[in-house]
Amino acid sequence: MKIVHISPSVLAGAPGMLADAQRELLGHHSVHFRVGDPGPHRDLMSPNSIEITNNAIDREAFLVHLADAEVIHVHNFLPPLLLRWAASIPAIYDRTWIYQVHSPTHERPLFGDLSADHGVRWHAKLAVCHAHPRMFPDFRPIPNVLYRPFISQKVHAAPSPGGPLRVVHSPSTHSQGRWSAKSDPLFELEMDRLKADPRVTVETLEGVSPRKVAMTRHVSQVSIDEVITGGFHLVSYEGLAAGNVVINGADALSHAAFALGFRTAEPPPWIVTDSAGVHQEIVHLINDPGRLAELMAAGHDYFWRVMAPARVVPFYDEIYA
Amino acid sequence: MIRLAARARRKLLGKPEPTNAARIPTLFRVRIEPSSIRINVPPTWTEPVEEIEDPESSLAPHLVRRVLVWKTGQDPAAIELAEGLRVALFAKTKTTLAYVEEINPNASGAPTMLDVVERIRPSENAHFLVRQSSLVIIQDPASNLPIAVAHTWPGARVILVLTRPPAFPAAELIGVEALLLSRGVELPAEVLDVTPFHAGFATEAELHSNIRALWNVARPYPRGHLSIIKGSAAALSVYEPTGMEDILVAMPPNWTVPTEGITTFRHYLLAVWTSAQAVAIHSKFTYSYESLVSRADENLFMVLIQRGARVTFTSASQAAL
Repeated sequence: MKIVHISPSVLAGAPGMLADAQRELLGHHSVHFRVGDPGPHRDLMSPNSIEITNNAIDREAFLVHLADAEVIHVHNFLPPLLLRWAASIPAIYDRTWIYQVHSPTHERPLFGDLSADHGVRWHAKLAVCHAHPRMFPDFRPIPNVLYRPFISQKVHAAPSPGGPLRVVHSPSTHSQGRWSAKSDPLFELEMDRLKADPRVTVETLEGVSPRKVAMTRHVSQVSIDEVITGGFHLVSYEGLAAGNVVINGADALSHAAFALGFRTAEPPPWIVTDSAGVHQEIVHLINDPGRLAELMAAGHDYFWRVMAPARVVPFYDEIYA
Repeated sequence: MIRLAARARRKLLGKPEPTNAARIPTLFRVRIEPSSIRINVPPTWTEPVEEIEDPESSLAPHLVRRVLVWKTGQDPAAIELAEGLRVALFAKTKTTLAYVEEINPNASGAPTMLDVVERIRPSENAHFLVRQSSLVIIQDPASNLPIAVAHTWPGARVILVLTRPPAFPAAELIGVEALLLSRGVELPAEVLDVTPFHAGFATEAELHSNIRALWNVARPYPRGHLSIIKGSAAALSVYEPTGMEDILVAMPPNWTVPTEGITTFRHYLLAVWTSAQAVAIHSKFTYSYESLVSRADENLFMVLIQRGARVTFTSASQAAL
């Protein structure tokens, strides 16, 4: 199958990982194009995507792939430049067009459902199964695919008896939106308390590559996703995959979206709390090494059994059919 | 049926005091505390904005009392009405008032939306101002663009004033928190049914009164007040709130996510609403007990969730079953 993924954002890691997984696990011809210069974020999230700017060679490369594509999978929205280029291919709108949202409404870059703005008849409309399905209730919940060459089942974290508990906090972007917020004053206060606690080492990672983040998780015991909004993010995937205890703030609807997207009634073994509870939860883990080891093992097992790319990527084939 | 329900409520709550000023009931308060439920009857009533003591403004004056009036293009009537609002309602207070020009109100779609957002965020101060606005008034928009952009600031409550029918599909109005309609402007029931507050006005003075009343509840969100919109408050009596609840749903014991036959999140939310023994909504989503309860159905439930409400599940108290 020939698949072209298109996204408008330079900070879109998920479409690139999906394209890689489809190519390497299922043997599809899958490629991801994105628009814009990532600048200082060049290697941060999308090293596996093809950057497109408005020039003749990029246009030709894009159209060569698009002309052969059976599936055109648009993430968030189709940049006007690429929509204009696509229109030059005869009968391009007769292909299988898929629309998938990765961003919440009422915040940039989506604000609302933009699927109708493209003039395309969508074969399917998808929303990543985090907080998003509640904002796009008629879209189909679908998991993200965590697929990196440096993330594998065999390399994972281990408890550190006797040493301080190492906690990873890796807010990739700073935003104050309703659903993309990563912090609030109380959370900052709790993080300060955590950093002052001699039983804990906090590794705050910002602006570093996914490879460095993964490496740090492999020598840590806990990953904190955001606990502000009621949603969760790829951080939770990464933490479980690495065998960390994951802490997030997923509410009931995010859990329901997770269950629908991953097609499982088995809840993920992460710890759910809010800003006020982060330090307390960490203290509980310090005081109960048995539970820490149990949760680390359970999370690792859960990811590679339920959330693994090999299980999830075929869901997309079913949708394309 | 609705009329009967309204009569029953009047009997329960008593008749509002006669008054010359336009007043609206703001809340039927149910404060859920760890050990008990206290219901305050009758509902509270708003007072003119100048008479309200605002303790928070002395603590953080830069964070409250912000109003954004969205001028529509170069429409003289819209500008006149906006200026009238400023003079009548906000000139005497220390309210910060911001105007945003919609340069090309006839354009729509994703690229335009991005353009507009970029244009109104050219300076840090302007961005800060609109992001912190707790009341956004939009009058006679030519497209749904201002509504979508206004919702990008999660702290804002959005009032839409229509002196003429909208030139775009009325369904795009869904999501505003209050609709003030000039006499003769009709909107379909599917819009009115899911708008927490709507009222008509015949004169500018009447419009000002409504906005004044709405402004009084457009202050930073209170914590801990939940309005019961379905079932009995007793069903929630065993729940210990954390202060993070937006919507609290009491489900039957042992209820789990239904995955069979659920294809969209809307189906799932409908299953939740249908199964729920009680549903309580945080007062930050309500303008009035009357307006909420008289139209409390699954559509309103879903709109509040789409607008960003977190959902917390609890098991219904056996006493209520």
